[in-house]
Amino acid sequence: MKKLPCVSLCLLAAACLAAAECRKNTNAYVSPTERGEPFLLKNGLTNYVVTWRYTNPSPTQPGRVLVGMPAPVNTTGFSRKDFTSIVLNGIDSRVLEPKKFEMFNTEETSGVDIHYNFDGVPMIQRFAVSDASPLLSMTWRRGAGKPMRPIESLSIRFTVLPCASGRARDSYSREVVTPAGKYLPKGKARWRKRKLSARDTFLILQDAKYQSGQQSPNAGPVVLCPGWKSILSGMVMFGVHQDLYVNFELDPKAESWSFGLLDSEAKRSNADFAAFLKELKLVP
Amino acid sequence: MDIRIVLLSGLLLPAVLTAAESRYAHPALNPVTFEEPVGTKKIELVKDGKLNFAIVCDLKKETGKAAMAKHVFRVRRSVALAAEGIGHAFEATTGQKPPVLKPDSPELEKYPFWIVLGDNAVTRRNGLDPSKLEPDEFCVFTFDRGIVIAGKDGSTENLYNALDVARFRVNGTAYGAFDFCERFLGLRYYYPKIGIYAPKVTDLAVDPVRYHDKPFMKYHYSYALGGKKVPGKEQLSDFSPAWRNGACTRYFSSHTPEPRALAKAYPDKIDMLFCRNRAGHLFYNPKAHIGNYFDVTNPKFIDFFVDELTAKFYAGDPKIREAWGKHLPNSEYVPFGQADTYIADVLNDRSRPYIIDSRKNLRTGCLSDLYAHFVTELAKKLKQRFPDKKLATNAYSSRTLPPVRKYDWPDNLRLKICMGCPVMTPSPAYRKAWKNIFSEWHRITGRPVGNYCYGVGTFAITQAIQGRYMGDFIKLLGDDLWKEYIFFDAGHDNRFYYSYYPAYRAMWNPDFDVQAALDEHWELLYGPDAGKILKEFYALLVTTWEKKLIPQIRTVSEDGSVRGNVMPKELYKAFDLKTINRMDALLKKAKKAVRKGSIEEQRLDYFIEPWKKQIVSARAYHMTVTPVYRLLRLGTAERIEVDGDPNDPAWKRAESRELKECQGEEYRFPEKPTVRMMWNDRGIYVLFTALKKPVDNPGEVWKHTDCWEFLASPGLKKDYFYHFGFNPHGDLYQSERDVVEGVGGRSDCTGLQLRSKYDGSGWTAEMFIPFSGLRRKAPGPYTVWFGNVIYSQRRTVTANNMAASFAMTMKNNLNTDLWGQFKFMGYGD
Repeated sequence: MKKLPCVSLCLLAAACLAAAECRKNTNAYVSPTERGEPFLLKNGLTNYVVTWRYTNPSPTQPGRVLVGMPAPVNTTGFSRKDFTSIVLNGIDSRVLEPKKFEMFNTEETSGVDIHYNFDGVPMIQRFAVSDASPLLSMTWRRGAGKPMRPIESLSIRFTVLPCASGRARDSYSREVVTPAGKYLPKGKARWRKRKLSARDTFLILQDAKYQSGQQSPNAGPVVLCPGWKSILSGMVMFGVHQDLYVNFELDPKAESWSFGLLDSEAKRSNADFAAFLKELKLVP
Repeated sequence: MDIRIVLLSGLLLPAVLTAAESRYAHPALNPVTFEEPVGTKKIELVKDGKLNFAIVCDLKKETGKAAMAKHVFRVRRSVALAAEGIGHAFEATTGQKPPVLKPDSPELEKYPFWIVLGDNAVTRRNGLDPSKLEPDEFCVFTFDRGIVIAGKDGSTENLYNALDVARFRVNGTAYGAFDFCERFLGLRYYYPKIGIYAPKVTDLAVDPVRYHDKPFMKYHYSYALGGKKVPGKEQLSDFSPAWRNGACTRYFSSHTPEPRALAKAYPDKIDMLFCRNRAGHLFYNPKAHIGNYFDVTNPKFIDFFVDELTAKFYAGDPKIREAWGKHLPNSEYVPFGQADTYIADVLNDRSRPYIIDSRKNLRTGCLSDLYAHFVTELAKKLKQRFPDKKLATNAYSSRTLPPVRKYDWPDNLRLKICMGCPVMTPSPAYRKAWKNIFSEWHRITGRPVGNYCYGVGTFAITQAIQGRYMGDFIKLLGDDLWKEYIFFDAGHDNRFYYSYYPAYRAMWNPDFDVQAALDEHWELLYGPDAGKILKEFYALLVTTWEKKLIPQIRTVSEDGSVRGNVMPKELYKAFDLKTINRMDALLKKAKKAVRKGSIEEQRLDYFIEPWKKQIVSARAYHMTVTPVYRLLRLGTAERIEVDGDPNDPAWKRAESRELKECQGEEYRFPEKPTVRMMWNDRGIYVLFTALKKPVDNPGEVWKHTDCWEFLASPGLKKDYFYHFGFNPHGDLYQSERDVVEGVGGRSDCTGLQLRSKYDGSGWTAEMFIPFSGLRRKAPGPYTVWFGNVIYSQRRTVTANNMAASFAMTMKNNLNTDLWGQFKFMGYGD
């Protein structure tokens, strides 16, 4: 804990040295079953890789485009395979193929805009980083042009594997910490469903059993900050299962829907991570 | 030896020797029955490179009145075929052709030795009456002046009649002659022209010998049609005795009578002749063979079949002869068989007691009881009217499995079961299923049953090895198999002679040692170096099949065992890329091991030809990704008029997909067959184009015509599919089937529109398939159906058809594993 002011100073220095940047990641993964379209979003504080994974159609399944986050941490945190998607008017973004990717690098932020068409409703998903924050922002907004139909329903999901993955089945102890309280699993239940409200301005997603630390093989917790202005309701599902889901019903009348995400390769226990967030003033 | 002769001379019958006791037993040849020979004289047929004998036979006997010349045509002149075979063999091995003399020729004495062929005075003088042998049986024995080769021949007896089909032939002497050439001169007849191996012979002295042989199956015939496409010079006028192909039984049944011919002769009886399904559809198709189905639920059909069709046929009414079509009754059998139309729904008040609930969903058993009832009643009626005739019919398609209920099977009914697939014989699961079915048929009918089994011709791999299992397949069926009939429906391709050759030999004798025969042959045909490599290539095929593919088959239902379909998924799991690459490398190595311009090289090129395609296809399969066609959604203001013209502006937006060779080969069709598809809430629009005047055959969608096919299975389950096919004339075939069981049949997609147009420069067609006609709701945007689009040049019934497809078919259009995806896009895409 004593080290935290130092950490903070170091981060600040790093942020000053390296401006935010977005570029195509050179390690585009190609296999017989899929190809990847990865983007690296980095600043002096962090490196995120967000990948659009085009899974090949097979004799039993259609192809899909999944958004994964293999970095900063590969096997934990926001799922490297498929961590977020939306469903608009019943159409899952994973069955769509992005129409185009547009990278941008401005003085303040860098990122990538991904254009989709949901049966006549144009939408843009933006991932961006700014110079001075370790947060990765993700925003959905309406695309240009008049939609052929209104948005009648819109929801978003996140899949997170905080701290550890691939361990014994149902051996986890997932927890959610928000300003409104700490949500613990119900005994050995695989899932606990907990409604979220605007008071849950950020969610620290962590594991009580597989905590990280200097010598630990585990990774630290992650943070999800929902932009409640355009959210109607939310729900988190967690328990002893490996996956932790956060779902939001979004306001279909809003113009955009924003979320902040934080993941780090630094090895921090749950307590250290909470302190780290405070130090950064990312949380009150 | 002398002592033994003395001892045996007192016996009336020659003693049977074991193969080991005769120097002329050969593991690569038919295992004939050797007997103690008479005499001790060596027959020196060739000495110091010169022929020392004449062929003695009575060819006139085969062409004279006694032979009923009208019916004894080329393939039935057994003695002439034998003389030709012997003459060819000596010419090929010594360069000299022996003279052919009559048995009473004064020239005979000029020759120290004779090879006596067939039934004639010399043969009889030496104690053999060939007419007393069994059909196709022959005997070979030495005597003091030479060798007698004589068998039971239909040509020298009053055997044939005007109703006998060409494949019915009794040619014992011819089979004996070819056995002699193999056994004593060392010839091998793998396939015509360059497929004959003949060693050089300068001296040939035959020790005293006596043996006889006969076919295990009376019907040992197949599709072996000769060597038209084989390179090299024709050497024999008929190759069938060399292959041991023939049929010394009159049993035959097919899709008989021919529905369209029958309907033409009896237009006023169409409603009685053909059946209707519950929806009221009459299964009568005046345009094609397929699509017709006789009403086996109707007792009036039985009366008509016997009292009208059969009675008037035997009375010689020429109109009725035409009504039967191609396959006629003969002097022993009256055949009955349905057209190749699959239907499962023939429920009416008459059929209701014979539609068994537990069988309703079995593709190969849903109509078994209905047919058991029908054929037993038909046979009884036939027996009353024609007690000397037997009913020849099949357990086929939806009635292959034995019936569930008990029936009184009359003794004039001869049945063949259309099932089995020899290439699957190594599979314990298949063996068990087949054995159960055959045993049950045997048990319920009280007599063994014939068999019509199937080849798998879609892959070079299966074509190359399937014949080796024929002997085991026959032995598996054992006493349940009626030794009168087996047919191997595997086509014939001389490039795979090493599969067909053992299959035909096994039909003659299931104990034929396939491995010994093939082991011997590699070096004979290809020389020592290339032969060794090809032997390794073949061993790789067999071991991969038996060790990697067969173990994948853990269970198979009796219903599913009928055809033994091999799917690419299983095949290429066994024949993985590593194996395919190894096969390719071995063929290349073999090519380097033969001398340029040699006959070995010519044979090797012929051998390799089909493997080029197989290797390309296998590699394409291993690297393929399921293709996706994105059907753009028509805008609310967009329209497509189904008029056969591709001029609607909307088509310009649609993805134009050129179809590729259906097995992944590099061949590009010059006509660039291309498909475009779009959709709206009402249905699917398809535009087909090909830049060449098509071959059209109005009335035929599948034969001697070009055609397009559209196949689609809604959703992801692939549980059923719709199939549409049409020819340039616009004749349409449509069906709806269960993917797994195949149950289903012709459908009627209400509201479907099709317009096909062609001229000298090309063919375009537009099709609209309404979702309502498929009895389905419109799919949601971005949902996926599986399907395929195929452009075929169906120029012949069986072979050399070219096809291009959206997703590879590997020559099986119903290969749903390989089907591509149709993705229904949304507005604005």
